[in-house]
Amino acid sequence: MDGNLTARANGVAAPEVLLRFSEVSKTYRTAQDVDAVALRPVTASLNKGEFVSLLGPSGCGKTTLLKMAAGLVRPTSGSITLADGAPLQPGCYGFVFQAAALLPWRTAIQNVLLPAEVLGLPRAAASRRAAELLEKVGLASATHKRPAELSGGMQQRVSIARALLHDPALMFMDEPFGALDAMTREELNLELQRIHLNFGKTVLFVTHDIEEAVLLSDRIFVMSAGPGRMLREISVQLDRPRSLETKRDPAFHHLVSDIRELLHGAARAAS
Amino acid sequence: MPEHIEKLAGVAPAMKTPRAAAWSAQRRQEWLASAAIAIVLIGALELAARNQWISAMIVAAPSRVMAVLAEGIADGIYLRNLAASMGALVAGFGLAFVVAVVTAGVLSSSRFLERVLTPYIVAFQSMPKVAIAPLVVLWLGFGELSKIAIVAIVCFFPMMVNTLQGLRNRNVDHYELLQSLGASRWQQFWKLRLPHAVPYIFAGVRIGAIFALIGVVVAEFVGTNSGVGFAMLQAKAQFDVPGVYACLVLLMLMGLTLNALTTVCERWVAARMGTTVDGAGH
Repeated sequence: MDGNLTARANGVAAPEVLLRFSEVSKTYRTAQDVDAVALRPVTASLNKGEFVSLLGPSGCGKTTLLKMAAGLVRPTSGSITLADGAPLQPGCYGFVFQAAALLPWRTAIQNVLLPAEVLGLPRAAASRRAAELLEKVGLASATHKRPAELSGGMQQRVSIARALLHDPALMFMDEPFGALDAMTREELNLELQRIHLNFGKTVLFVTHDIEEAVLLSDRIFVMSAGPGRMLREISVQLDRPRSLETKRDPAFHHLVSDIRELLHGAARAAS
Repeated sequence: MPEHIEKLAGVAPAMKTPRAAAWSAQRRQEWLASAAIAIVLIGALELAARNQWISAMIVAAPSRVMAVLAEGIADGIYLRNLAASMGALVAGFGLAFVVAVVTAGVLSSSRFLERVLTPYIVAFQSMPKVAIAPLVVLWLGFGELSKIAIVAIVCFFPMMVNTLQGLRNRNVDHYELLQSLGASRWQQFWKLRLPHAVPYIFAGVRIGAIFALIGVVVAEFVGTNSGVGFAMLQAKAQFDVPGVYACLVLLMLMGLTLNALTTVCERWVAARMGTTVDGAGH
């Protein structure tokens, strides 16, 4: 089992660290004034151009860790910084929410343009790019439709286009495909891989779906609940680009079942 | 498979047409029924008044009312009064609208202020605002100014409370989205809270318009010498029953006009909500 899980020596040049998590933890104070540990201290790093998944059951603190990385939630202790020690600035990354979080009064393209308005980017260039991005995610025909007229999968595509508009090097994604049906989900998984590879984006991706994590990731941070903590870091050495064929690869299956055992073992130990 | 889809797509509109026709036929029937009720009612009133079945002090013949109305409009009295009422109404309503939206904006941006002032808002809201009218006349005297003030006081609260409710967009994702982009509080207001409030604001405007009309009539009853309400009091004093009815018709026309204006504004804003709000933001 361990043979599959441990990271093998990497043949590529030493990775360049983009984001560094040092002893980050989160404790919430409940209404009864009791401290609830959402996440025990995590130390890890995210490398440039890498696709890393935070994988675990609900309550493992994966979304908390993601939101702390994006600066949306303040850590109780520890820090998350760029390689040079500076904190990550809002506006220089893209965030994709579990619910597409589109503004219902705006059309698809107006939603995609939101980052340009907030960041004050030149309008004409932004409009061109928004139209291009919508086309890239296969929604050219939905440009002027409002979210209510779009299916869940289409809404999530719009929100991905929105996260890409200001061309951030880093993308945070919080279970973006969790609410979608299996087919749409697979389709969007492959599309996300294309975006990751073609644009060279670094992605931090939250999911509770083991197969999705293995299919997409370079590395997986396996997390466990009660209290939330990071169990292990797993390197996924499957060739890219991956496809639905990859899911038939025995190596894929081994990895998936190893992670499943790891998660179940942790759940048993916790209960 | 594609042929299947094409077939379905081809069949669908053909099936829709008879249904649409049936629907419009039903609409026509409904319209006819509405019109028939109006004709029957007006006809019955006319008959009852002409044959003295009902006292002339209670009901005026619709034909008499129309004649008085035409006469009053021709000699300019009604138009002058209509202009006086409409002017005060628009001024008071406009003032209340601006103050309501600004107040709601300030209150919604500070939880402290909102919590501190909520008891006062509730207390004022539970008081019938028209009851302040005599007091306002004492303060501001007999005339346009107190009329405008009464209208503004009466229609301020429904608009403020509705706007306040709309500005409290509670969608956490939306806030985090803007936060992830480093949006300022000001941007949060223009991009998130104000557009979210638009339908609420219009709900407030609809109620406010009705209240404003009530306000203007009450103001003209208690403290002015112009306007449709005043003309009605005068007609009453002279036992001019058709005159009283004519004024009621004028007030109804005012109400319908306000309602139509609100609908037009609402459609216009709804059609271009994203863009208007953006324009205002820069």
